[in-house]
Amino acid sequence: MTHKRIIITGIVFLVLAGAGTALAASNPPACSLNKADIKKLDAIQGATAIDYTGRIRAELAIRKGLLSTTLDCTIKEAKILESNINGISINDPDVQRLQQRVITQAANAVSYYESQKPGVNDLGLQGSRDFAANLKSWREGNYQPLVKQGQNLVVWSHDQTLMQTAQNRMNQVNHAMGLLSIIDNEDMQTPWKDAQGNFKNALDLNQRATMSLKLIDDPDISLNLMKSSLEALSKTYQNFFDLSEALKKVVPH
Amino acid sequence: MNLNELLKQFKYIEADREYTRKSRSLILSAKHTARVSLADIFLKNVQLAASVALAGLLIFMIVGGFSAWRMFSPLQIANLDPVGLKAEAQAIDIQIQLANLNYGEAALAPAKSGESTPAITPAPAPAPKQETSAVTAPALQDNATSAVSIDEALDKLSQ
Repeated sequence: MTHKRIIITGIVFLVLAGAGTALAASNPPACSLNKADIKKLDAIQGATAIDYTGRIRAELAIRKGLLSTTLDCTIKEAKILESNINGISINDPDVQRLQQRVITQAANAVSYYESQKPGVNDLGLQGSRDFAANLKSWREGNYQPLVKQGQNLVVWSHDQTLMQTAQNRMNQVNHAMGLLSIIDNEDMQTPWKDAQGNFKNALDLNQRATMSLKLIDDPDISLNLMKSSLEALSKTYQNFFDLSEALKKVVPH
Repeated sequence: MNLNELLKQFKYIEADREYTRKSRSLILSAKHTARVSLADIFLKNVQLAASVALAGLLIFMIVGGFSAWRMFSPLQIANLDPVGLKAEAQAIDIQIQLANLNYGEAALAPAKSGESTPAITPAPAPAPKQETSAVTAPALQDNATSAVSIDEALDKLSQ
């Protein structure tokens, strides 16, 4: 029995150690970008005590170091985006296609950043400035729209769970209303009708947001539709609270 | 022979020896253990499980402060229990806050708390209408107090 325990403990330890090593191996490179590092650039530019050539060399070294760190951060950022979008559970096949598209594009962004890294060593002073400007421009045109689509997928996915929970609640309350024979009560009618109206509105806006996502609309339009849908859903729950208060008055408890 | 003497002779009556031997051997060879069927075992197990379950339920009712009144209150029956409603309403509020976060922060927030990812500096307050900040990438740095975003760094490096 004791031997068995030792063997099992050993196996568990090895599995955990293996998993830990695998996780560590899949982790993106470390990234540390802070103001102090950026300030080094200003400091060297203003260091008149150093001769011109020495200053230029030092500034170039700092720029290369910062560009290299920045690229590490972009790689890490894109890998996190890829991992987070990959972790979303989506049932709709059309939205699943969008999810795969975002995952692929995030992986492409990682490849792009990685392909840029070796070039940093060969840069001159003006070349490093151009390199930074080009990278920023590429991000604005390619990466940032991808981040918007990614966030929309995260929000949409959570929205569907909330919608389903609210739908279940609506069904249960609807059934209970008939059961308790209180549907005709005037105090109950108003919040119940409001709840039904707001929930219908929430469903409609959610449907429009889903279509907007599928059609790969402007991400801002999709997000605004989702926000409106959530606001309508929030109002529905406020109506539920009103209904709960009204019920307390109607039915002794 | 009178009746009295006849009755006294009864004590000399003996069973037939062969009959006695056969009867004894039959009795001694008979199996004394009761036969237990599979159905009996199953029934006993069901009874035991039911007893344990009922005892558990009783303990739960006593320890957990079970209240039949609360369970069958109209609010519970109507599925309008404020506690349950509040939990669902709070989930929606959190989702609204998530949707209002600047682009980048929500999509890049680590999915698991234990994940080894860089600290992402949170925005001071949700600002959904700020178009310029909405497309700004998050700051990536281990020390959030002096964090610089990727795009801020690139902006500085391009000058």
